[in-house]
Amino acid sequence: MNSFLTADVPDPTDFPDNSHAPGLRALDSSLRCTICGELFDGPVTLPCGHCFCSVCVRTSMSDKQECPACRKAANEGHIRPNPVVEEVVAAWKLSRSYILQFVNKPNSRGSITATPRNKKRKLNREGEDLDVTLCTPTSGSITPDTPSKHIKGKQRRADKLGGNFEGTIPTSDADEDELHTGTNLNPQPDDIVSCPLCAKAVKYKNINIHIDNGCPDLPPAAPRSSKMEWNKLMAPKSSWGKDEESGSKDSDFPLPKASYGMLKDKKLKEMLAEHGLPTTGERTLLIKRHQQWVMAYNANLDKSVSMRRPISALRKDLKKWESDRARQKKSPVEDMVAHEKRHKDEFAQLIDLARTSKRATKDPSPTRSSHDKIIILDSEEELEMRI
Amino acid sequence: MASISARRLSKELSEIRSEGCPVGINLVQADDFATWLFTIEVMGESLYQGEVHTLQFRFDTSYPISSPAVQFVVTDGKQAPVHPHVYSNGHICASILGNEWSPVLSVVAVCVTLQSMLASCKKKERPVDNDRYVRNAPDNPKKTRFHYDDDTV
Repeated sequence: MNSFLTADVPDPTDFPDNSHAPGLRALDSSLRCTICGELFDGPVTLPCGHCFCSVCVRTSMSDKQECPACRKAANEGHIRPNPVVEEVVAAWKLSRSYILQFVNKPNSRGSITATPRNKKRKLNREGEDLDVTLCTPTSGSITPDTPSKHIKGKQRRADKLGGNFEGTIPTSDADEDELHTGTNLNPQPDDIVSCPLCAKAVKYKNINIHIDNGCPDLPPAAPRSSKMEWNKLMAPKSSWGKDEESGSKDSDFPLPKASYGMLKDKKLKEMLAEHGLPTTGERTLLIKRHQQWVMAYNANLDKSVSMRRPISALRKDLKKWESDRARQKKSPVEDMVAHEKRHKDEFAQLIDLARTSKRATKDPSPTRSSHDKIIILDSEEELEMRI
Repeated sequence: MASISARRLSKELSEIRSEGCPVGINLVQADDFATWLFTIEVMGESLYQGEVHTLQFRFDTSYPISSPAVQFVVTDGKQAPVHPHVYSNGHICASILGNEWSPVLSVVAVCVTLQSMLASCKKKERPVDNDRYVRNAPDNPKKTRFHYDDDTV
């Protein structure tokens, strides 16, 4: 257990207090969800303005339909994605370890920070140069070499930026590296990018569908015309039913919450199968599974497209959630005799305790005490139901 | 990776260790993510001047979505404060530990609330149904359905 306590879980106190690093701890803390304490994952805002991870606030709302921070009434329909905070968090994730390097190592502080600071100053100066060249056309004195100078300046600036980027980002984290090896950070929908899973060349606009379907071999994508779209819509039912199954359609719309009380087992299983989820287990488990899936799926949609996790990853999460849940549940006693033997001392102790407390209270009726026990068991069951 | 509850608790713990607890509240024991102990004492003038009580927090894996089980320790010579919402077995009838719990609350926030609950007390007395409740009370206060009817204390 102690190893858990000392395990390295990043939190705002990684940064020194205000007297040593003004604002950094507060900055880190304000970019964290107040429910899970992690940096926002798929941040969403409620009408009251409070921000949480989508999954956190959805889990909380399944319990109580209000804002966890100010208790103002709110439900899932009020949840709005907050892409700005998402971007800020993404940038902060990149810079966090970088900044920590400097604030926690006072000796190396001067020598390392000196270089980027110089670079920044240079950049600024070039930025000013650029402004001047951009202004020249309005003043009416266009010299033939101004455009080329302009381009050169821009290029130099880009080189500097690129150099600065690669030189200063720490390369310890594999995930972070991946983000920077690609030269094209803002691909257009029609650009060819390589799939991060199978490394096949896929059009950027198709990459999510490609990953969601488990990286199949894509046919060379023909340009889509409106005529083709119409043909597809008018085609016999079987073909667009197929399209629906592949998940490329409707993939941007949240799943509706189901009223499970109205559903028969068969329909429930169909709904699970529709998303490629297992249909085994008791009815209560099926319902829990579907609820959890709808929550995770909709929370994933609250992220911007590039941040979304592939459907297959969501399925894995659900599997893990279910096995964790099963482990938490008390395992039923199978071998009664062995169980009695193993806990003999415990039982004896409890019986002793019960006898002394009974003597102390001088409760004459034996039926009363057994009745009390039943009450407590009932409340235990109630608790189970509530969870 | 540790579970969500363990991660959240480890963050709370490191905040307590680096920034300290509010005045009158002290961390006694936090060896795992199942049970923590705090001492709580009401500062300034109150009916509880000079008394130091021990609070026990028990967490399950659904924390912080579900509330921790909080009670005063009444073993080893320790006693629960005499208060209209605190039973002699240490169980506390406070809405934020039951239906008013919110996942943004923290261990320290609960301590502060209970501290102010004691500080605002006008008359030291046990709840009216103390004896009946204590006789039948479950081990875990979360298994009790309290009725929250008094907003004044």
